[in-house]
Amino acid sequence: MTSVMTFIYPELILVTGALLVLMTGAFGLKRRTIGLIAFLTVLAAALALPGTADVHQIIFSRMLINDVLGLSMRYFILLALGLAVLMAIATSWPDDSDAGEYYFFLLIAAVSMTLAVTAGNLMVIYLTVETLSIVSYLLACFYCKDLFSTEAGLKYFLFGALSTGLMLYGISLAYGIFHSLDLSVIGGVLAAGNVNSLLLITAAVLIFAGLAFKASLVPFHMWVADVYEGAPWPVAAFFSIGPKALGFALMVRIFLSYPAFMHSGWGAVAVFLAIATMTAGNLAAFHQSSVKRVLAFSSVAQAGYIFAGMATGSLGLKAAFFYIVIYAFMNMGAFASAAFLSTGRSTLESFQGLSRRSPSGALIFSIFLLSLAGLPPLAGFLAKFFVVWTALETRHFVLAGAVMANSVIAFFYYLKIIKAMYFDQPSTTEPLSAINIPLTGKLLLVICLLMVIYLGIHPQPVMNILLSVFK
Amino acid sequence: MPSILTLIIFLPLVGALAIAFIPSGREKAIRLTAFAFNAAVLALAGIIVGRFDRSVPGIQFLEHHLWIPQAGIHYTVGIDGISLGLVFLTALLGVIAGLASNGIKTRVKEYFLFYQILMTGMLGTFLALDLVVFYIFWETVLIPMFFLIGIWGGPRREYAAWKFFFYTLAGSVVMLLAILAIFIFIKPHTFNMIALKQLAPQLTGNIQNILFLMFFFAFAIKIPVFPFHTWLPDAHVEAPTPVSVLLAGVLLKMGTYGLLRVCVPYFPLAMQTFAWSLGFLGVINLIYGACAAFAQTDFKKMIAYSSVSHMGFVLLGVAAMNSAGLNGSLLEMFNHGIITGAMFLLVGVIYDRAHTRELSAFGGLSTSMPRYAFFLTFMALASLGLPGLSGFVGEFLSIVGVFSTLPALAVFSAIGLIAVVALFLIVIKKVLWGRAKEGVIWPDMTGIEIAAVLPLVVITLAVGFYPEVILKFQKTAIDILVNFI
Repeated sequence: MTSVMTFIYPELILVTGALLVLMTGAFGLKRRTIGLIAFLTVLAAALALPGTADVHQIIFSRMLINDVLGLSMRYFILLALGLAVLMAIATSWPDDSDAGEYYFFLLIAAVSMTLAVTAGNLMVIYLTVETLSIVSYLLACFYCKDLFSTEAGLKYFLFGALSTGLMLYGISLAYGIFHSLDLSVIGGVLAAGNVNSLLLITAAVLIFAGLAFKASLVPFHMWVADVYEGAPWPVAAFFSIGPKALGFALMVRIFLSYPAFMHSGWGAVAVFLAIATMTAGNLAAFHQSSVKRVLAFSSVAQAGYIFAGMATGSLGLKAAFFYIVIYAFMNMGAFASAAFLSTGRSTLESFQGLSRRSPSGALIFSIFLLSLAGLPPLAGFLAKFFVVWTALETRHFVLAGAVMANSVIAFFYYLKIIKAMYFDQPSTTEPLSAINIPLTGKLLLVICLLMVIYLGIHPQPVMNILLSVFK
Repeated sequence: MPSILTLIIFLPLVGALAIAFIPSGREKAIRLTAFAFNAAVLALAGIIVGRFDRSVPGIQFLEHHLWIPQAGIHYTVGIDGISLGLVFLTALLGVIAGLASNGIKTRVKEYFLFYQILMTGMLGTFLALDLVVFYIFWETVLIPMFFLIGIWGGPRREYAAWKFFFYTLAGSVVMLLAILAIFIFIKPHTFNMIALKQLAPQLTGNIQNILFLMFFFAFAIKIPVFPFHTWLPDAHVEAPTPVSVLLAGVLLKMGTYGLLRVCVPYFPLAMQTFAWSLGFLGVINLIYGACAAFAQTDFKKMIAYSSVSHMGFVLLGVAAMNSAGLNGSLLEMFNHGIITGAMFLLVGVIYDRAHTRELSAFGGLSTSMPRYAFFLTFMALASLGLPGLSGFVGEFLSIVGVFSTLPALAVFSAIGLIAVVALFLIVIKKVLWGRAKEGVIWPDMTGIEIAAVLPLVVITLAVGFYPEVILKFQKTAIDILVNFI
C-alpha cells in the first residue's frame, strides 16, 4: 500500500523543480544549465513513481485514483516531457533570461497532466485541464516578439477557453444529474439506471467536446496548425503528444470506464469522428508549404487513427494506446529532426537537397516520416496494423477501409518532404554549410530512432504493459 | 546460428550497414563491398539449390520462430520448388545488375544502400511463409525502388517514381486488409502460410471470392495485368539500367509468385470461378502488350511493353489450373527474368554509347559491333520464343496447359505469339541491320558488359535445350499445388 504522500511525490518533485528553475532563471544561469535542472527534475519525478499500482486505494477522499491506467499514463507523460526538455535544450531558443519561465511552464504543464490522469473526480479533472490550458496558452505565444507566435497564443486561447467552458458546463450538468462529481458515485448512479437521458447526453457531449479539443479531433482541430506553427518547436512537439494522450486517457477514464455514460448511438458517432479526423488531417496536410504545418496536420490525422482504435470499443483500447506510445516516439522524432534541420519558417524549399548537407539527419527524418506513414518494418506500421485489425475483428469494415485509404493518401505528403530532401537540388546556388546537431539533440534523435526500430521488431514490452492496463 | 535462409535474406542488409560506414568518397570500396555481399548471396543460393532435396514435397529449410505472440505472428521462412528458382534468379540478377551499376556515377553510396535494402526485400518476399512477414518484405521493396527510380532515373524520373509507388501501395493496402480478414475468418486463427493451405477450405462462397479479388488486385498491379499496367512503361523507361533489370527480372515475379503462393492454394474455388477471366486478361496482356510494343519508338519502352506481353503467358498458365499450365507459368517467370534482364542490359549498353534510345537513331550496328549484334540477336530470338532457347519452353507449356481447359483462349494467344515474333524481328532489323548511320561508330561491348550478359546467355541456352534442369526442381511443388484444385 502506497501512502498518500508517496503517491504524490512525483508531482511534489515536479512543482519543486518548477519553482527552482523559475528562481534560477532570475539569477542569470545559462539556459543549458536551467534546462539540465528541468531534465533532472523530470528524471527524479519518474524515479519517484511507484513501480506498481494498488487498485481501489483512496487518496484525498477519492479526488485521485491509484490505478494502472493512471500510473502508466504518468510514466508516459514524464517520458514525453523528458524528450521535449531534451529538445528544448538542443534548440537555440529561448535565451538565458527567458529560459527559467519556459521550463517552469513546461513542468507545470506536466504536473497538471499527471494529476489529471489520476483524477477520480470531475472537479479535479476540470481544474487540472484548465491549468494545463492556461500554461499552454503562454507556451504557445512564448516567441512574444513574433507575430505568428502571438497569433498562436491568441487562437489557442479563444478555442481553448470555449472548449473548457463547454466542458465546465457539461460537468455542472453532470452534478445536477448525479448530485456528485465523484466518478465512482456517478458510476453507481448510472448502474442503477433512472437517469434523465436527454440531460445525460448533453452533459456527456459537452464533456467530450472539452476532451476532443485536447485530443484535436474533428471538429475541434482547427487550432492545431496555427498554434503549432507559431509555437516554439519543442512546445509544438510536446503539445502534439502530451495533451493529446491526456485527452484520450480521460475519455477512457470517464466514458469507457462507465459505458452507460454514453448513449447507445455513440459507437457510430465515434466511428464517424475517427474517419472525419484522419481524413481532414490528411487532406489538409496535402497542400501545406511549411513542413511544420504538414507535421501539425499529420498529428491530427494520427489522432484520427488513435481514435479509430478507441471507436471500436474496449477491445480497441490496447491498439489505441499502443499507437499512442509508438506515436510519441515517432512524432517527437519527426518534430525534433525537422526542428534541427530547418531554418526560419521551415518551408518545404528549405529542405531541398538536405540529404547532401546532412546525410544522417535527412535519413533519420525520413525514417520518422515513413514510420508515421506506417511503412513496415517500422513501429508505425505495427501501430496501424493493430488498429485495422481490431476494426476488422469488431466488424467495423468501413473504419478499417478508411484507415487504409487514409494511409495511402498520407504517403503523398510524407514522401513530398522526403522527395525534397533527396530528389531536389538546393533552392539557393550559394554553397550551404553542413548542419550540426547539438549533442542533446543527437541523443534525443537516437532514443526515438532506436525505439521506432526496436518496437517495430519487438513490441512485446509495450504490449505487456498495455495488457496489464486494459485487462 | 541463423539458418541459411535467414542468412540469405539479411546478408544484403548487413551489406547495406557495412556500406553505410564507408566514407562516400571511396566509391571503389563501396562497389566492391556491394559486389562481395551480392556474390555471397549468390553463393548461398547455389548452396541451397545444391542441398535442395527434390524428392521431398513441401517446404524445406524451414525456420519457425514466435515473433509477436500477442498477435500470433511468427517469423517463418522456408523454400520449396516454387520459390527456389525465383530465389536463385534474384540472387543471380542481384550480382549481374550490381555489375551493370558501374554506369552509376553520382551518389554511389546512397545508390548501393538502397540497392542492398531492395535485395533483402525481394529475397524475403520469396522466402517468407507467414502472411504478415510476407507483407512486410513486400512493402520493404517499395521505398528503395522509389529512390532508385527517383534519384538515378531519366528525365521524367520523379513522375515515374511516384506512379510506381502509389500503384503498388494501393494494391498492397488492399492485400493487408485481405491478410487480416483471412486471419479473422479462419479458425484456428493463423498467419502461417503452410497451415493455411489446409485451413483455407473454411473460406466459402462469396468470402472466398472477395478475398481472392483483394489479393488478385495487389498482385495484378505488380505483374502488371492490363489495365493496371500503366506504371510499368514509365518506371522501366525512367529507371537506370540495373534497376530496370531488377524491376523486370524480379519485381514483376513477385506478383505472379503471389498468384501461385496465395491465390491458387487458398482460393481454388474462386480461381475456378475466375479462371476464364484470368485467362482472358492473360490474352489481353499478350496481345495488347505486343501491339503497344509495336507502336513504340523508344527501344527500352518497347522491351517494357514486351514484358507486359510475356506476363500474359504466365497469367494464361495459371488460368489453365493444370500441371502443364502451372509448370509452364513458373518456368516462364524464371525465363522471363533471365531473358528480359538481359534485354534491358543490352538496351543499357547501347544507351551508354548513344545516349538515346530512339530506334531510328540506330541501324547497321552488326558491322561495327559484332559482339553486341550476337548477344542482341540471341536474346531477341529467345524472347520471341524460338524453340531451342528457354523462352519457348515456358510459353509452349503454358499454351498446352490452357489448350486443355480453355481452348478458345489458346487460339487467341497464338495471335499474340505471332505479334511478339514480328516485334523482335523488327528490333533486330532496325538496330542491327540496314545502313549504318553516318558518323556513328561506337566501341563494341567491353569485358565487364559481356561478363554481365554471358551467364544469362548460358542459362537461356541450357534451359532451352534441357528444360528439366529447372522443371525437375519445381515438379513436386506443382504437383502438390494441382492437388488443391
